[in-house]
Amino acid sequence: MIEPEVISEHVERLSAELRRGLIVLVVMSQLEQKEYGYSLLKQLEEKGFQVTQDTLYPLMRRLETQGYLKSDWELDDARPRRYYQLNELGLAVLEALRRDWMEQLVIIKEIVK
Amino acid sequence: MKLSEKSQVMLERYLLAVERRLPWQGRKDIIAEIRANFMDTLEDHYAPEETLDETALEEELRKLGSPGTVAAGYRQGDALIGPQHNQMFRLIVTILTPIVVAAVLFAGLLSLILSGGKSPFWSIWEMFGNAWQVAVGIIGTAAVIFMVLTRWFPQVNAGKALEGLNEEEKHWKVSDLPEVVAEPDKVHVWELALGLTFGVLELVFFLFLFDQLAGFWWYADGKWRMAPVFTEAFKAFIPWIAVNIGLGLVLNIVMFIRQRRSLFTRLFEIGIKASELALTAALLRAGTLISFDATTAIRQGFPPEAITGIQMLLQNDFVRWFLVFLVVVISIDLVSKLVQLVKSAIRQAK
Repeated sequence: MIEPEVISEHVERLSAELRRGLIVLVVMSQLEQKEYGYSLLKQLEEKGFQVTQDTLYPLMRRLETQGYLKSDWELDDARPRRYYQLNELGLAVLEALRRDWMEQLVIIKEIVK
Repeated sequence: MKLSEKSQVMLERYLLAVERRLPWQGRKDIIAEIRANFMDTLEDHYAPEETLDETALEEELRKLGSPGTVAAGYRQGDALIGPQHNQMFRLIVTILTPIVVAAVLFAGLLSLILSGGKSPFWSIWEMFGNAWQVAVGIIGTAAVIFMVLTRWFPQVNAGKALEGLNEEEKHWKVSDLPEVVAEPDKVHVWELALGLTFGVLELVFFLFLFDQLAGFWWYADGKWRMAPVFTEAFKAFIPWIAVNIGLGLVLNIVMFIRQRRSLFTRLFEIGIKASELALTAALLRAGTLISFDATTAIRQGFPPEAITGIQMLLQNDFVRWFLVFLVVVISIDLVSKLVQLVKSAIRQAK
C-alpha cells in the first residue's frame, strides 16, 4: 500500500511541472492590460495559480526580450514601477496560443477522462 | 512601512550581491525592478506605521531566495559558457592568470637585471609582450574549452550549477553579503594592479638600473647611445625616492586586501604625498642635479645637433622649472586628498 504522503509528494512535483508548461500562456493572458511585477503576482495568487517571484519576474523580462511585451518605468506611483503589457505581436501570439490551448484542452479532456 | 537604518544597509548588501551575479548588460535596471517588487511585497505584508528590523527583513529576504538563485533567473540559458563552468572559468581568469602573468613579469625583470640593462627598451617591450600573450593565451584557451563543453558536451558537470544554487540556498548568510562601499571609498582592482606593476618597475629602475638607463639617449649610426647626466647630488636622493615608491606599494597592497579606501589609507596616502612634496622641495634646494659633459658625449659618438639640443635644455634651467611644476601638482593633489579625508570623516561620523 503506497502512503498518501508519498503520492501527494509525486503529485506536487508533477503538478508543478504541468504549471511550468502553462505559465507563459497564463502570464501573457493577464498582460492585455498593463501590470507591474508584484501586482501580477498577487493577481495570479488570487486566481489560484501558484507561481514564485523568482520565476515570474525573470519570465516577464524574458517575454519582453523575445519581443512579446513592451515595458516602461512609471514614476507617478509612490515608487518607480516597471509596467509590462503585450505589444501587437504579443497580442496576436496570445490569440493563437489561446485557440491552440482550447483545442488541446478538448483533446486532453477526452484522453484523460 | 519603513526600514530601520540597519535593515536598509542589509537590503543594499543583498541587492549588491545579486547585482554582482547578473550579466553586465541591464543589471542596474534589473536591480531597480527587484527592489521595487520587493518593496511592494513588504508594503503588502506590513502595516504603514511599522518599522522593519533586521530579523524581519532577513526573513523576507530568505523568502525571496539566495542572491545566486534570484540572479540565476535573469541569466539567459543560451550563454556561450554554461553556468556549470562559471566557477572554474572565474578561477582561471581571476586567480590563475594573474599569478602566471606576475611570474612572467618577474622572470622578465630578473633577466633584465641579470643582463645589466643591455637593450633595455626591447627587454621591457618583450616582457610586457610575453605577459600579454600568456594572459590572452590562458583566458582564450579556457574560454574555447568551456564553450566546446557547453555546446557539444552539455552533460559534463550538468548538475553542478543546480547543485551550487541549492547549496547556496540552504547556507547563505546575511553576514557573508558584500559590504556596500560609498562611491568615493571604492577602489578599482585594475587601478591597484597598474599601481603595483608600475611601482615595482620604478623600484627596480631606481635600485638596480639607474646607472645603466638614466641619462640622455640618442640613436645614431645604427645604435643607441646614452650620456649619464645625473649628478651625485641627485643620486643621494635615490634612497628617499625608493622609500616613497615602497610606501606607495604598501598602500596599494593594503587597499587591495581591504577592497576599499578607509580613514587609515587616506591618512597613509596624505603621508606619502607630504613626503613627495618634501622630497621635491629638497631636490629644488639641492643645487646641480644634472650636468652634461659635451666633450665626453662627442667622444661617445653623439651627433653635434643632439649636443646643442641638450645644452639648450640645460641652459633654460628646465630641471628647476620641472621641479616647480611638480611642487604645484603635488600640492594640489595633497589639498584634494585632505578635502577627501575630511569629507570621508564627516560621512563616517554620520
